[in-house]
Order: sequence, then C-alpha cells, then structure tokens
Amino acid sequence: MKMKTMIRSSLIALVAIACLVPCTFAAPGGKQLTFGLVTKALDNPFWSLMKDGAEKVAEANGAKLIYLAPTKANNLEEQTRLVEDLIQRKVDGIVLVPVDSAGIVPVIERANKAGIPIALANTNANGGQVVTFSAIENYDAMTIVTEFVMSKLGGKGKVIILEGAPGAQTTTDRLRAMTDVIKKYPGITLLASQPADNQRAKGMQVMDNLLQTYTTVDAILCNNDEEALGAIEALDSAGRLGKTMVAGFDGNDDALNAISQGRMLVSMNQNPQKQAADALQALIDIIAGKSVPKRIVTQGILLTKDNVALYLPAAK
Amino acid sequence: MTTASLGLSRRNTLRSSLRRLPPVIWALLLMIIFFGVCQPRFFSLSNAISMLCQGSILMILSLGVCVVTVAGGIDLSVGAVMTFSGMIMAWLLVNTSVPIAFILLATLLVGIAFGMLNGVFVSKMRIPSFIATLGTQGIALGLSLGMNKGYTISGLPPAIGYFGNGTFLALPIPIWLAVGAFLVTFVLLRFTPFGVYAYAIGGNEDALALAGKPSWLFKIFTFGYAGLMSGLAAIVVTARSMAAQPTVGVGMEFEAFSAAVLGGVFAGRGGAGETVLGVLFILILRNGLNVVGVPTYYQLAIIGMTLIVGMALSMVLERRLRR
Repeated sequence: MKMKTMIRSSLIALVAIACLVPCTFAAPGGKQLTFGLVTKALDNPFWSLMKDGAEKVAEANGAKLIYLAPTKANNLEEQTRLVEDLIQRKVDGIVLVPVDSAGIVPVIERANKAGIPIALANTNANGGQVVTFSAIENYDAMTIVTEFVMSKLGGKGKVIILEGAPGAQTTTDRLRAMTDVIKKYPGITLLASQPADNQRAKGMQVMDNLLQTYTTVDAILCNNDEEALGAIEALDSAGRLGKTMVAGFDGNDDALNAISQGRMLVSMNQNPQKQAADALQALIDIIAGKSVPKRIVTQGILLTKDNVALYLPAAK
Repeated sequence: MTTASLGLSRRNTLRSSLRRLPPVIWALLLMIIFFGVCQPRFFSLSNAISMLCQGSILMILSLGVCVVTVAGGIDLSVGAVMTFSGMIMAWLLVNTSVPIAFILLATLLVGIAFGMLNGVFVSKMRIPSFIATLGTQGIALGLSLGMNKGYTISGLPPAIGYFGNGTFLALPIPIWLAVGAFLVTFVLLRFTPFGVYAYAIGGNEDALALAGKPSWLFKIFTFGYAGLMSGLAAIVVTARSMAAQPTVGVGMEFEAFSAAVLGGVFAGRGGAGETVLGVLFILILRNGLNVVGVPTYYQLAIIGMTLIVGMALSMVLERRLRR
C-alpha cells in the first residue's frame, strides 16, 4: 500500500519533469552567445534602464541576456554569488556593476582565471582585468550639478549632502565633486554629510532627522535621485519643500516628473541604457576579435526645468 | 519460516531506515534531477564545488543556529555578529601588525563574546531569546556601520586570502572549514554531555531545572557556540572578498534559520545532519535558479514558495511514515 503511493508519487514527479524538458531543449544551443548582466539592486528603476539598454544590444546581435541583481540591495556577498554562478554557467561574458569597488576584485579575478571577459558599467573596480569600463565621468558630472545649485543659491547658503552607498567608486567620486565645489564658495556652510545608501526610504529617514536639527536648509545635494526623492518627501511632510532646493542624479522617471512639477531643482541624466549597451557591445566586439577602448565615456545631460519636457516619460 | 521472518525483518529495517530519513531528502533529490535536466552544466564538478564554497558561510552559520534551536532558543543575531567580527578582523589586519593567527583567534573570540552575552540575557535575565538576540543584532550591526562610518574596510594583506580562495587537496578552504564545523557540531550534539543537555533543554527545560541540573550554563554555551560559528563564518566571508562590508550579513539569520528548520531542526529534535540537508536545499535551489537563468525578481518568490511547499510536504510525509 505504502509502496504503491510512493511509486505513484514518483511517477507523478517524473511526468512533471518530462513536461518541463521540451521547453529547456527548445532553446537553440550551438552558436548563440549568452551574456550576464549583474547590477547592484532590484529596487531602483535605474538598473532596469540598464537592463533595457543591454537587452536591445543582445537582441540586435542574436545573443541571450541573463539579468541578475542582489535581492538585498547593494549586498556584496550576494552579488559575488551571482557572478560566481554565471562563471559556472560559462556565459560568454559578464557586464558587471560592482556594489563595492574593492570587495568585488576577488570575484573579477576568478572570472579572469575562468577566461570569462568582464566589462564594467557605471561603477569601477579597484582591480582585476576588465575589457572596458563604460560610464559617465561621475566627478565631472556631479561638479556640473553642484555648480548649477551654487549659481541658484548665489554662492551663499546652508547645504546638506546625502552620500551614496559607502564603498562604491561612484559615491566617492560624486562626494569629492560636491565637496570640492562647495570649498570654492566661502559663503556656503555645509551643515551635514550623511550616507543614505542610494535608497528612497533611507533618504527620507535621514532627512527627517536632519530637518529636526536644522531649521534653515537652503539646498540638499544627493548622490542619486532615489535619495533626493526621499528627501523631498521629508521636506514636503515638514511643510518646508518651497524653501529648500533638492538636487538629484540619474534622471529617473520619478525625478523627471519632480523636476517638471518644480519639486526637484536639477538632476543628471547619465544615460544608463547607453552605459550598459556600450559595455555589452564591447564584450561582443572583443569576442569577434575587434579592439575595444579601455574606457568608454557616456555623455551626461543636465536636467532642469528648461529641458526636462524633452525627457519626460510621456515624451518618449 | 526462518527465511520468511528474515525477509520480514529486512523489510522492516528498510522501512524504519526510510522513516529515519528526513523528508527534505526527497525534495532535494527531485530538485537535483530537475535542474540537471534543465541545464546539464548544473551537474559539473566545478559547479558543485563553487556552490559548496559559496554555501560554506551559510553552512557554518546554520550549524550554530542549529545548536541554539535544538535547545529551544532562536538566534537572530548570527548575521550581524558575523559582520561585526569580520569588521574587527579587517580592522586589525589593516591597522595593526599582530600576527594573523592571533587576529583570527580574536575574530572567533568576538563572536563567542557576543554569543555568551546572548546566553546571559536569555538564561540569567530571562529575556526571551527572540528579543534578546534581536537586540544584539541591532548592537552588532550598528557597531559595524559605525566603526568605519559605513565604509567597507579593504586593503587586507594577501596572505589572508588563503582562507577564502586557497585550496587544500583540490578543495577550497571554506569547504574544509564548513566540513570541520559540521564534524564538531555533529560530535558535540551526539556524543557529549553538552549535546544531552542541549536536547534536554529543548525538550523540557523546567524538568531539567527541577532535577537540579545547571541548565542555564549549558544554555549560555549553546549561544556561545552560535557566536563561535559566526566568528568562523566572518573569517570566510572577509577572506573571500578581501574586504569587510558593514552590511554583508544582513538577512543571513533568516536564511540560516530557514535552512535549519527546513532540514527538520526543532526544539529537542534534529541535528547537524539535518541542518546540512536544509542548507543544501537552499543552496541548490538558489544556484540552480541562477544557472538555469531565472531572473532574480522571481527567485525570492520561488524560494519562499518552495520553503512553504517543502515544509508542508515534509509534514505530510512525516505523519504518513509515522503511522
């Protein structure tokens, strides 16, 4: 009796497996190239834009793209595992956006050892061999954003910086740009500089607290749009949105809307689609035996009330 | 007559040994076959080694959690304690010239200290373990973030990389460490008075106390052991990335606890072997989904669903086999 049920359940299991087999073998094997794209998190639309960009290039070249990102945002251990699994899958190349520029190096070296080419997009790594690094010049772009805010402030006022997730090269570069520009203006007071980990909820939480401490804040400089949008929420609920300028970075849809509504002052469109697309194209080119530049600079566009209409989601 | 009874007894031993097998084994086998059919590369030796190497951190943490769980407690601090021990380890490696062996010892001691602290809160101050360890989780995470202002500590001496990326007899060191942790936990729970007490505490602590046995001391030790495992996991995770990230262990306690419970570890029941099965289940599922190419968005949902289906199935099977 018991044997019967066991046989029956294993039969059911076998049939279930057999049903799934055709769908896996239907995929054409042979020459189709498979690439991996690993970003920093699932909760920021910026990374989905990178995926869109990479997918277009993959499609145009008849290649397959596997998109993976840590479920725990900016988690190094999980990102390392994702890259390792792609190495095991022997993909033809990986476009990688490191969550931590130093901590990612060992897994890049493991990919090097396995002979799998890596192209970095958006955020650089401190070591390992990579085909190319495709990104905007974060320092230059953030300098432009900060200078814009300074000109609106007239070189005078009290400023708060929301830093990005600690340890990423983008955070370091953008923070350096913000502080370098501020130093040039003696009339500017830097009230506080705190990390908000590139997350909206964190940006709101950090700003909620800072607004309790500081009664006058003229501008908030943020490492990315998500933080900026969080800060805007905090300002709004404190009834102080009209008195404080907020600067973001990335050019996400929500940020574009905020700029057109006058809630956010400025952002930087860093063209994530192109960053990822260029990185993937570089991998395809190097496999085809073409030469590839070591650094691909993406052009950023300053987004303000004057030009935002061109980029609004409705206009696309 | 003799042959018949022999056949009967053999069938009985077969049935009873089947009964003794944790139900998660069937789910494990099914999953291995499924992923192997979907993506033949899943079966490669190098994938197996890579998976076990990645999983060694979870394995070590889960073995610590297993000991606490068997003794009727719950430890939510293992991920954060691992992170903090790793931060201390990296800080010592970068900023001092203390010999590596002492630094590794210090890393383990930080873990043990946090674990013992949990134990004291729970057994001496009578704070429920759920709350006490949630508190230490916050403390450890806060200290990790604070000690380097949220930044990763990197630039570790290359020698330390041996513990994360080195190999011994063709197998990565983290796997050896996980195997060592398994053997120690196994022996500890099966063959020592500590194990007897751990199961007894999980079974009926009050009875033990009434019998005049110092159950509180052993309870502190169970948490101390989980701390030791967190320290060991810290060495592996730090050496593997040659850096200590202050949020690296976030969510790990959830995975470690799920692994132990999925394997069949409850208060007074289960052990090191069951934990390993639970860990393998989670590892294979995660690795398999990546190798097959399932987008990460759906992976969480699939893992959650499998956890519930797996638990339900094992409950049903267990009841049926018991009958």
